[in-house]
Amino acid sequence: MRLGSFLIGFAALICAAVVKDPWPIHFTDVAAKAGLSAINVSGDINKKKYILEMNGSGLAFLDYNGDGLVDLFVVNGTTLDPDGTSTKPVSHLYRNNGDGTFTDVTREAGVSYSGWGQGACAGDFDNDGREDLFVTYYGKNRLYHNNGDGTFAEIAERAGVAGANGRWNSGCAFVDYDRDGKVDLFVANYVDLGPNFSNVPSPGSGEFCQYKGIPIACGPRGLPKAPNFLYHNNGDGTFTDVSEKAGIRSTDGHYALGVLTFDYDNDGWPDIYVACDSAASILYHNRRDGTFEDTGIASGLAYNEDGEAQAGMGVAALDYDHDGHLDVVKTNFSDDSPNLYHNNGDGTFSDRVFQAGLGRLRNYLGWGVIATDFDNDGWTDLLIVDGHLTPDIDSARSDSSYRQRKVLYRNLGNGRFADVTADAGTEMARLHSSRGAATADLSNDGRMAIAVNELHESPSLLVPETPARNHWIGIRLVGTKSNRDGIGARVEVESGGMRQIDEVRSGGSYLSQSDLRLHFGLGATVRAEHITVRWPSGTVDRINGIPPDRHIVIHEGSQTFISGAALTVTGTKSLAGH
Amino acid sequence: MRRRNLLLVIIVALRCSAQSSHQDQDYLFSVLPLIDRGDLSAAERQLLQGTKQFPGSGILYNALGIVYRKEGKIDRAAGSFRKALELLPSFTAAQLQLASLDQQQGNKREAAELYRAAANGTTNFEALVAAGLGLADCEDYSGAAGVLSKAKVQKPDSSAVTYNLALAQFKAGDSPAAFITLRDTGSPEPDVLYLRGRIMESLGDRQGANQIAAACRLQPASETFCSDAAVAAMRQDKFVDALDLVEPALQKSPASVALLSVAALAQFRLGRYGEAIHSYRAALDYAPNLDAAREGLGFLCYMTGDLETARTVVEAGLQHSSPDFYLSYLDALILYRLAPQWRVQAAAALERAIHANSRFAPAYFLRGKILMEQNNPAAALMDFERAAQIDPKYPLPYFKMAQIYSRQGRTTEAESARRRFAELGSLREEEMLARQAQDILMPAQP
Repeated sequence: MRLGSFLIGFAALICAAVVKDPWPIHFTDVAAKAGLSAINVSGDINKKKYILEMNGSGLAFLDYNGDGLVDLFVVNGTTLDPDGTSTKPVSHLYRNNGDGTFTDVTREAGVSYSGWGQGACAGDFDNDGREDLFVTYYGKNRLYHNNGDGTFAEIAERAGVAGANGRWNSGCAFVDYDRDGKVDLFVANYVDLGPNFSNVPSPGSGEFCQYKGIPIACGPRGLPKAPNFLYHNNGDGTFTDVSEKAGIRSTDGHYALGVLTFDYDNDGWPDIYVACDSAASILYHNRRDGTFEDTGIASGLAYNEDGEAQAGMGVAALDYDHDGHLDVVKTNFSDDSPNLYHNNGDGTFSDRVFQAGLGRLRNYLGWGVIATDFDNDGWTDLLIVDGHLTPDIDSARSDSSYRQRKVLYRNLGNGRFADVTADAGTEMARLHSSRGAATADLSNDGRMAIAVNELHESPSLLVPETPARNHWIGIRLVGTKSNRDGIGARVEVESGGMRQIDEVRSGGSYLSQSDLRLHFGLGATVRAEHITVRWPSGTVDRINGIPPDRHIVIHEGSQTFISGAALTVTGTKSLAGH
Repeated sequence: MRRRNLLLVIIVALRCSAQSSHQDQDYLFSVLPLIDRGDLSAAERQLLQGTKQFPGSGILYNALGIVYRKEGKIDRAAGSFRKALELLPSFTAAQLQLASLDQQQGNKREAAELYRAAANGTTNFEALVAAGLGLADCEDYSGAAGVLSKAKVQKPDSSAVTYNLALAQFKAGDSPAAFITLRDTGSPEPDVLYLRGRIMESLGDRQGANQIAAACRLQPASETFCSDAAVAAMRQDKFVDALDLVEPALQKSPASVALLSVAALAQFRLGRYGEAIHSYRAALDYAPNLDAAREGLGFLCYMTGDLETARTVVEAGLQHSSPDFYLSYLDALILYRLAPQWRVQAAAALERAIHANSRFAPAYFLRGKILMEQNNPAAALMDFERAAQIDPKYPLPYFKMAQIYSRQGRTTEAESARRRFAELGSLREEEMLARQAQDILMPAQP
């Protein structure tokens, strides 16, 4: 008998035992108690005249003040008649006080702005060690440069990423597509509404202005499509629109929403996947020469397995079966299923949504999607947040409804997922019309909290009630040759016979940003045997014997880690070279 | 056809028998009370005696034929009518009687010839109406329309003739003429509204649905009016209206399988899957062998992700002697989605579906997918090509063809297939399936 095989088999048994336990995590919505009180505004609450009023907004977790506690930026929309309201709605920045509460610092941070906010993504675009924030709008985008003193300066116009008035920018992500050490910026666009909605027919007036026999706001089908944008970081605080040159415009028009950057073919170059609504989703394959080609159809990521268009909303990457390839989850419209695109490792994907048990809830309209290991058993779980377009839907008496529950799927470790929402606390199952969703370790204790932007409500902040049951490790990367955040770096964690991978990622989900730190559950294993970081620069760091239940920081090329808890160097030189 | 004021054949016989003598007519009058009383044996005896007394009397043989017919002595009746026609070749009443008998016995061609002959030889209104209706029953709608037009000239105000003429014209495919015939009929009667609605629909006039709906509202107990009204509304994507029509009708006829099936279809299209499943289940309770309801139920369970129930429902239907091909196809769809281990069974179900209906493109598409998974791209390509050939507007085969070509490095062919796929446009699964199911489950366009 080979010892290696025995150990792996034993580890599998341990994992299997973990999986068979009842779902251990109950979530409580602490938003109100924590002070996340601002109400989302997205046009009229009851009557939606335009599709713009229905799509809602995302949110972003980022540590804006560098205190080690992740803060929250909640994107907000506005009304069709902002002048008619006494107070203009703005997006809100909430500072994490570290005691379970947040303080609204919107005004003092300089991010108080009213408009049709859509999405947000974080990234240190000037490599100054401070997280910057990009916010997309219907209208001109905002690039908030972090001043390092708790304030931001809005520089989108100066930096060349504001775009034009009337553009409907949606998902975004910082991505170092040319691996030059500076993050560039990808911005998806949804619909060309035209000036003053001139391209939009009135509700109920056409084929694409009906839903199940009731008149609703028109679109996206039937409306003009809008192009996506790629901005190259010039390294001097400005960007250049390289969309044409880079092949971003070579695809036909799409109604683009969620953006996911990931290296699907493991070639070390970041690719970009864009979830599109009622059209082929796009997989921008990085050709390693500054250009991209759309391999959506060839790879199987453009449509469902049959070639049927889907209404893609949110996206997430995860290696759900530990085969070393990043798979993709995409949320879709109601009367459809999400996708679980299994990465076949040969440049193609197969939709295994039904095999995996994710295809049964077809009356849910999915938006945000989070892939993280909530119970820290070493298998990445999924959370999909749902909600229909408009309250009018309820008058159709259909099986779908405007307010819907979130669905928490537990990864069973055998290629299948189980809906454990009912076991995750009543507040997880509470009905909302949810849009953007993101996750972060707010208290730095391995419990992944969930923030959700709820349409016409204050956000939800679902926090695990009890301490993390299994072991875990959080990893923050600091690039030196690579971009400072390590965005695009591939991290592999080996522990207890399991090999997990993930990448540092800007953007994702539905127009949202999760914690830039990576989170890995370790199950019952009391240490991570190896952590390997493949940086965008090509540098590889390998660290061994990492104790669990802490956040660590890995500086590029250091072959060591710093414990986030004690901030002491506890790592050793990689044994890989020995 | 609607039979109003249908002629009394005996009377026509008398009116049309100009060549008869007064004696045999008097004889016939003496027998009529017996027929009226229902004393058929005595009438038969009397008429037999009469034919001996007046062997050249066509009207007596005709009357004897009528009595035989009433007695159920069909062969003798036919013989008597033929004898009458031998004696009086243009004897309209006998022609109509014999035609009616032929028609009853399934000899529509012979019957139609007799009806035509009768119509050609008479100007009598009732005879023309009878011949017109007879021709319609023999499915000679053009002939019926011609004959009924002649009747209408005689009595332009006859609502029955107008209705039947319009119906004959409509069935003959002459909807414009049918529309003109019915145009001036202000009758609010449900069947007139219904017919006008059907005619307008066939002319592409969306207002036709309103006429059918009005017929349904006036007569909610009519399964036909209300199920057709709901179908017409659904064709215009007015699913709420469809349900509003069919629900009151269902209160009057809760066991109507037609209404339940149409209600289920409307509920399905409105996303009220739970209600639709309930309706289909009820329809199946009343008519367990009804494939359409079973297909609807199985399809909905499949659509809503309840694959195990879908499989149970569909496979129960497959136990029947000659199930519809779509049940086998559904079985394959369900098995395919259920788990990879059911691929062999799914393929077998597809073989059955294709055997039963070799012109259903989605079956080839699904078989192609299975073959593709089994790493048999050549066979898969053949199936996709066949699917595309059967239904040139079906985009999905081109998607798969593009994938195969692309993986084989056949870039030109891949690009061509991709372009064709893009030209045809891809719908969402819900829409694709809904259209497919609607095609299968909804009654055909009039």
